[in-house]
Amino acid sequence: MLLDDLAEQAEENEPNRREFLAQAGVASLGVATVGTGTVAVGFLSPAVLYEPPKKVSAGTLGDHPEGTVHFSPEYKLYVIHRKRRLYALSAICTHLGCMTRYQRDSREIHCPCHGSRFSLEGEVLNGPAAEPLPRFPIALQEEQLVIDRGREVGPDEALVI
Amino acid sequence: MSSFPKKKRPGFAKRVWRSIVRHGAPNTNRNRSLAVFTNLFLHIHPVKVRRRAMRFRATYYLGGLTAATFFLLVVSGAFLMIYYRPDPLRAYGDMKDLQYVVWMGRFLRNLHRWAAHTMVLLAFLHLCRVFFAAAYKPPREFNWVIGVVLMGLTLLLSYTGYLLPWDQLAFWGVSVGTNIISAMPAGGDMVKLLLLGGTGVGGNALIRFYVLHCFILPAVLTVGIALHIWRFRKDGGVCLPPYEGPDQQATTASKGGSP
Repeated sequence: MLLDDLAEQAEENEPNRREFLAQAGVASLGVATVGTGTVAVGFLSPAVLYEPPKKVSAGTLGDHPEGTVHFSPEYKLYVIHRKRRLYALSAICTHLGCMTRYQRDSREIHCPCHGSRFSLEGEVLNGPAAEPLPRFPIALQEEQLVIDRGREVGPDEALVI
Repeated sequence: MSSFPKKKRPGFAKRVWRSIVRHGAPNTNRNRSLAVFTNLFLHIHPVKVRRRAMRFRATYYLGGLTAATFFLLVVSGAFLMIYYRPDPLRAYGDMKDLQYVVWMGRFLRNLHRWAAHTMVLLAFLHLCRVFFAAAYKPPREFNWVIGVVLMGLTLLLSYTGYLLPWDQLAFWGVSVGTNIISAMPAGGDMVKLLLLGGTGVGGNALIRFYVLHCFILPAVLTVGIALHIWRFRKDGGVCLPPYEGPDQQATTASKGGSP
């Protein structure tokens, strides 16, 4: 009689110790990989952003007389008072995110990176940008103009003065 | 009282030399082989190297030259790291200092820049040569894949280095590039946020690109190059077309005498 025959026969579907340990090893490796990935992504995600807030003040109505275009490089937007309407446009080109510039002589907004051109209403005059410049809502709060850069409004919305 | 002559113990210098190089002078085939096998840098050569594989026009030495430019970039880059600080308030000034104040700073900076351009060019030509020589075919197809990854890493190194001077070109170049990344359908904005450490290019982005450029990408590239060369060696070195000329020995014997 062979020694092997004396060993207790394992059930057909029951995994033996070696298989169990191998599976446990693979599983713990998987857990470690997922854990490392989660920690890496969590660590790389900035917990605090030292960036300008979404809601920003743009002074009073008196700071923006009729016919002016004010550019804020910090908040990356234009405050435009035109035809008795006051509105705020994003200054970030909708093509690939460069900062646009208001051109006083042509009364257009130009992007230096790839030559997109926008009207003072934010409409695309010339590509490669496909989308108009986003328009942010302006609210009058106790004489102060507050612009919410986190929201976008339709192309005709403005503060009628 | 032995009649045998006493063997003289070798001198100190000789013993030190023997502790480093453990084979004799390469004047026998065995010692010549040992010289290659026992040297970390020479053993990238396969066991047998054909004479025609060593000719310049077999490979134009493009892979080796790409590796050489990478070595040049690591050395010149380490020098630049001594003066450069990846901080929005200092980066541009440090770069200008390297150009105008630091002795040999401009030379090292220009060397780094030209070597970077050269490495991209050489890696591209290497890929072309391997393609036209059909050296990507089995069993080397996975080494081709590694090569393409190495080309990508080379381009990523160029791109991450592009931000470090912190001038207008760098700033808008990376603004545009990361906006292209955010156009990726799945998780584009997430990748952009993790890469920049913010919604736009700023101090966080500068140090992230610095770490990628100076440590992570070169480390990955070094491992990749080791893997690439190891597979190349195991596959028998340079992939040559079937030999169609006269007998190999005949050519070496009739050197200079053939038409």
